[in-house]
Amino acid sequence: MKSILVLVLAASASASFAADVHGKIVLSQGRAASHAVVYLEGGPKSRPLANAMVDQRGRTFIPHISVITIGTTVSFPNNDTIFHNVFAEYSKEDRFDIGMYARGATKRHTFSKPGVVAVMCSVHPDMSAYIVVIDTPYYTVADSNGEYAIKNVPAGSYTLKVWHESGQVESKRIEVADNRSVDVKTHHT
Amino acid sequence: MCFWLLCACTLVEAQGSYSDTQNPVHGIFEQYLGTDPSHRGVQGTLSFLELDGDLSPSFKLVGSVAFTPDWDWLEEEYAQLNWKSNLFKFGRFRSPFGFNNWSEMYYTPFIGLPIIRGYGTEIVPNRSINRQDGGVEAEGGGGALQYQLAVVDSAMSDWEVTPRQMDTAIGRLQVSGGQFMIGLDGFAKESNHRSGPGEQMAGIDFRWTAPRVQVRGEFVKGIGNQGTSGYYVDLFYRPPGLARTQLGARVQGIDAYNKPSADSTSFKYYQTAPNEYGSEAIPSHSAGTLYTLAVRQFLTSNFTLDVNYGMGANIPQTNGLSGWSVQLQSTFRF
Repeated sequence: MKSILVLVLAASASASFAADVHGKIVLSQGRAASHAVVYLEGGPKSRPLANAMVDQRGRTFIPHISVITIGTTVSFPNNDTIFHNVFAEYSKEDRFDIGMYARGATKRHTFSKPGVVAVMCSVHPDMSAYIVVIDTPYYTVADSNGEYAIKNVPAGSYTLKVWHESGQVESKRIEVADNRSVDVKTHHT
Repeated sequence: MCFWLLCACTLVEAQGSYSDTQNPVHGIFEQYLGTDPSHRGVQGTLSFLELDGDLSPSFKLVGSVAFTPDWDWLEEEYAQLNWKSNLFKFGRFRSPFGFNNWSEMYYTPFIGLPIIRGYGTEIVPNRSINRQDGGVEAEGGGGALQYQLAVVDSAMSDWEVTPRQMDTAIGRLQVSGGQFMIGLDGFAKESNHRSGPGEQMAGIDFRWTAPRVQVRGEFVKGIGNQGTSGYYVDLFYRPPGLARTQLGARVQGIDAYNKPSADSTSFKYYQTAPNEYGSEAIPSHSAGTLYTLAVRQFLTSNFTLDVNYGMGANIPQTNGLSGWSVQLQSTFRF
């Protein structure tokens, strides 16, 4: 099993006991784990997001990777001139199919359980997207260099979790207080 | 949860890169390889290339071309402008009559086009509904009511982009409610020296969708003594637990006045116009019904396999549509 290396740098940044957690996620092959989802569990629970959207434009789901909190309703507008379908089958937590619909129409689905939902279109096999549903307000998506930053995290103990679309995940306990770095080695599930 | 995470990552082959916004210039290349039911080996090949340029959120350019060993043609070359809830196209585009776009016709489990949408099926003499027109199209509406209106040159050659004589009006009205949608289509071309006598066509279509299921159908009729009429009804079903499999069943019928496409095969891309490719036998009338069962398997995000079995009337229009046929489609985006 291949593994990836996650380098976590935690930096204390304020006097109000809130810090920014930032670092870089690196795959085992040495390349950056671009657009990995990074989030902290163990703190306060999240609230549903007021607005979340996965657009269908140019036969592409945009964005390809989304992070939402439990209870969030995601809208799926069709901004192409062709019919699209949105469905999820490969998720134990949430399976749905909201049918086909034409340009200008929008359909919605509420995600009530945590997990990774792979979204597809039954018309266009090359269309896919991931929606990562979490139950924490502290999360981010790493940039193309694998670098990330989660801002204003209250001091305390958390479990830092990482998900990458290659299928590799990792979790590790961290303390958010002072400047520090944490190395995390992840693996295929 | 870990198992399902792995499933999600393994079974869904994601695009190569993450994007919050799409590259302003992007495209798609498709290749179709198919077998004719009456021959061995691969007889049909089609290549399709499309380039899109998103110049701004409200303005884009689209260009596409199709190649076969015997016949190449421009698919669509147009500028698209979005204004409020309206959309305008200028240039060469698929005739806005019924389920006309590439996606509707080619991304289904069925290898052959519906007979009434075959390139060689003339609803009125010398005019099929599977056609590219040149001119202006407006599309809009909101809520349950949508419209498409076009003023075009409906006699464009394979490589023309700009219209020469905009003598045709095409209109479509689409009403949707819940899971059901119904559309009415009309086509009227004025009589003139260049493209011949006046022509009229009418169509009605419907679509019903539910989770895993879609039913759609079209009925088209050419107006006048030499008009052809026909219909098809498609059922699509995605079995539970088989996200990458789609089943299809089609029933279609045609009542054709003349010029059957005796040389056409089952392939979407070889249903060529009989007046271009020659058909010696020209019965004055033929009618029949054809049934097709189909399976579409998404092998990966780039490869799709279709298997069809057709049975029914043995008339010229169904040549190449009866029996087994197989098609492999590849799709690559850039």
